[in-house]
Amino acid sequence: MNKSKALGPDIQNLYTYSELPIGATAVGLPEGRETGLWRYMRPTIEEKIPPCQEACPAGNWIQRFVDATASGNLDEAWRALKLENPFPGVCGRVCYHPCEESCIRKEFDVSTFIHLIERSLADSFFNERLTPPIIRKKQDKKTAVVGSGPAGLACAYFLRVLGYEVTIFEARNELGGIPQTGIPAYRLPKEILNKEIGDIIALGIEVRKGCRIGKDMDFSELFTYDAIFLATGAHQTPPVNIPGVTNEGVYQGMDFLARYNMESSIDVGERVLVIGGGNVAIDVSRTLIRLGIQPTLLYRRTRSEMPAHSEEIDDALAEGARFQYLLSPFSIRKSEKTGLILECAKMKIQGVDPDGRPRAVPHEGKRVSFEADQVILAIGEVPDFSYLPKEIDLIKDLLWVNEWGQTSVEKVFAGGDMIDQPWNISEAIGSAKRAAIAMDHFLKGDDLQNLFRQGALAKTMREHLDLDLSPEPGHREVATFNDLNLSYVRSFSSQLSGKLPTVERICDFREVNSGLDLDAAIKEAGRCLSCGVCKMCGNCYLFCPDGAVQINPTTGRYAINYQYCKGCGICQNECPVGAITIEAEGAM
Amino acid sequence: MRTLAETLPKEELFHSGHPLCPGCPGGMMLRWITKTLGKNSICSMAATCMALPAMVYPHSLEIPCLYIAMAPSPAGITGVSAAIKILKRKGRIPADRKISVFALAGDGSAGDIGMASLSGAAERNDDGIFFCFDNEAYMNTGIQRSSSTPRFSWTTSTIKGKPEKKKDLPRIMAAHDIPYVATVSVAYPDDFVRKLEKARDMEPGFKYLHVHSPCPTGWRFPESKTIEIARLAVETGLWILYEVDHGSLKVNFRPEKRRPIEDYLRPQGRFRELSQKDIQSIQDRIDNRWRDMRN
Ligand SMILES: Cc1cc2nc3c(=O)[nH]c(=O)nc-3n(C[C@H](O)[C@H](O)[C@H](O)COP(=O)(O)OP(=O)(O)OC[C@H]3O[C@@H](n4cnc5c(N)ncnc54)[C@H](O)[C@@H]3O)c2cc1C
Ligand SMILES: Cc1ncc(C[n+]2csc(CCOP(=O)(O)OP(=O)(O)O)c2C)c(N)n1
Ligand code: SF4
Ligand code: SF4
Repeated sequence: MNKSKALGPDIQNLYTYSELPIGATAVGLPEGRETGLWRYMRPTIEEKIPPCQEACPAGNWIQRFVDATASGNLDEAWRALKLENPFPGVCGRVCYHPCEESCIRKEFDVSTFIHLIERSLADSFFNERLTPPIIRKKQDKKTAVVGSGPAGLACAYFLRVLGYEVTIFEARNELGGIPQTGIPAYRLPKEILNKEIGDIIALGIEVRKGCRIGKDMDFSELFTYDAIFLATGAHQTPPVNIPGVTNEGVYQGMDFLARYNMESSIDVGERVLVIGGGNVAIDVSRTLIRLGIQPTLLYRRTRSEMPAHSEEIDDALAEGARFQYLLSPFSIRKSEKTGLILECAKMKIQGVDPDGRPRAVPHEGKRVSFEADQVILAIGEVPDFSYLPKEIDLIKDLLWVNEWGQTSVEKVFAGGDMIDQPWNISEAIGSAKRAAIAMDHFLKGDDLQNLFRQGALAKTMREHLDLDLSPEPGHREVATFNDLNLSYVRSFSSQLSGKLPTVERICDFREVNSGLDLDAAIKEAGRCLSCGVCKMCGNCYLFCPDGAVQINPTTGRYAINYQYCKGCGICQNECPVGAITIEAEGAM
Repeated sequence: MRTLAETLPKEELFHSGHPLCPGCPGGMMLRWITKTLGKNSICSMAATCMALPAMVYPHSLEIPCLYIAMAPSPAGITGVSAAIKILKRKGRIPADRKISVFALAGDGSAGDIGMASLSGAAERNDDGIFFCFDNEAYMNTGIQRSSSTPRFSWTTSTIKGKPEKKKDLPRIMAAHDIPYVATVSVAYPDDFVRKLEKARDMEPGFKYLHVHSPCPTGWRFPESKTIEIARLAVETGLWILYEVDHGSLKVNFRPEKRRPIEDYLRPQGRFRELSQKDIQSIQDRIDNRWRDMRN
């Protein structure tokens, strides 16, 4: 006989709450008690834009690829990276990485080395094809791209991703624009550049090399295409009014670099003067050093006004370039013996120029002269617009485009160095992406003006293709330092990547800056604070005293149940990434 | 690595809709306890703030709960675990069924009113886990001092600050030589749950967990800062996270650089009247304690 029967209900099942006999205790859960009515502060899960992403001119999906790298999910990292940028290997090396300037981690210890993570991903996928993560189905429209610099190639890539037929017209016999002809191999190895170019072309892009629009083909022929993207850069030397610039032995800096970079040899003497303070002047000087020549660089202002990137100025100095400041050339003549004589005016700083830079003015007629075998002028280029039809408007010395990169001729768009924006590679890529997205709308017959006014014109592919599945997209603020809770962060900074020792680097064109190996890159990626973007750490869920934060089963993300949330604000206070905001209940 | 939020069971056995104050540390503590011990557990609950959600209808605590007087919650462990033992022996409950018995009491009942009962259950090594919810005063009746209220603290019964020092209950419990004694904090859920799992999975016997529990209502700080204050207690070195596992002591967290105690005291209204000298004396005590802890 079962003894327990005699004692009443089966005790084996008695000890869970729902099985307690009524009467022993009142049974009932508090579903109906809406403690949310107590609330006077309202927390909202509201993701923000990481400032690095806001600062990246190319529009990289930084948080996503860095976070995926940190969790060892390299395929996903690679997909997020190449969705927005077909040149990660190039940008990881020669982009000036403004992202890191705005990295919030900088205020804690040192910024996350985003460019090194980008570079490391590109290097570790070097032997694989950079196929875009998504290619839309074929669209029945043909597009033309003029110029194959970073802007032209990037636009071709994005148009291809969007399913369009693309033909590139390039004046030279090689693709790549300035990264190919101007940036020396010690900063950007040719195989890295050419791999990325090759992968873009392999998507099925038609290429017409040696075809200079305006010379080998008339612009009007382009109008057979449904939309056209112009990116012919800035390659023309403006008139220099220094007597004697036509003398033999006087070079233009860009020509000098293009000749050396494409032919790998050039004749120069022992005494070479480089005039200018920008990228070109520095790259010319460092190229000369690698040819065994110690150049002297003359600049009309001082070091702090030099437009070249500061790190590269330091590199040039370390490698033995001599710099002389406050000198402005005013004549070049042939020497009676051999070579040239360059006469310079001594300058001094007085007041400021209209662009805000300190103004250099002649110093009471003082002069100096230098003897030289060659003089290389690196004082800037301007775009060449002679091939354009009159209907395409210019503004000052640049091509006019509106906010989404459209010129005054409807089906013609433009980007890169020929429009009004900073001259660098990531800006070129960003402008190409913006134009490719606008061209997509244009080719579909959308009203661009209207879309722009509604704020519905995407700047990134993830937005345009609706791939950013974070909760509540739409209007978002940029995350700031104060949004984060850094109690959950431990201070550590990685071993910085190194540089080749100076003695070794001046012998040849081997790459100077080394990257991070993959393990180091994964570790470095772990330093990212994920500013404003929920990392599913679960703090809000664990710390909510009211169990009001739970995962929404449809989105898989955390959501707040306002029926029970008392508005204590612990979730907002403890969210490490600042993805929760709080304001007074009822505030607009 | 999977986070605690992923590994803890999703099911809530301490339900939303309870009457605890906004920002109450007890809310998260009870959620973690029930998620870790599961449905197969029985609670012996003293009179404390925590008894309200557990015992006042409707119930938030979805496990059987013995609402007991203030002093004898440890005796609840004694009785319930003895009953389970007997019922298993009689075959009325399967012998291999694991049932966790725990008691929950505030610092007032654990350290003052129920001290004898607690000491007795520990000395008999009765089978269960005892939680001292240390919010450093009798909160449920309106913030009166307890032996666990720290020196200098304002309470409604020490309006000029409490002259006496805080009783070190976990050390008293460690002196009972029970299988497990641990200090935990609501700001360190990973450490909390790991220790609780350890206690749950240990051989039968008395286990004691002392939960440092900043109470926004009684300590006079904004309710969004519960975790922040709890964390500051640990980062300043005031509250030391340690465990005594079968007699061997291990400090679980040593702050790399201890923050000044002022960082912890300043945001709390209950310490508003402290002089620089008072603060220094607290700092000195902490420094000495850590010096002792080194060996
Ligand atoms: C020496 C040097 C170093 C630099 N270093 C850096 C750096 O480290 N990091 C950085 O971010 N930026 C750097 N820059 C700037 C960067 O290279 C440019 O901003 C970028 O290349 C601009 O891209 P683009 O596509 O607009 O033009 P380009 O790169 O100039 O490409 C334009 C292309 O159009 C072709 N073209 C021109 N006219 C025609 C025509 N009529 N028909 C057909 N094709 C035509 C050209 O041959 C060329 O291939 C450097 C620039 C120089 C000069
Ligand atoms: C013997 C006895 N004295 C007084 C009370 C009234 N009482 C109920 S709860 C409570 C406060 C308990 O304080 P504490 O144990 O610290 O728990 P807390 O409320 O702070 O969580 C008191 C004094 C009681 N229930 N029994
Ligand atoms: S922690 Fe919970 S109760 Fe507090 S504000 Fe957030 S959701 Fe509301
Ligand atoms: S008084 Fe303190 S311990 Fe009690 S319910 Fe309120 S916050 Fe929680």
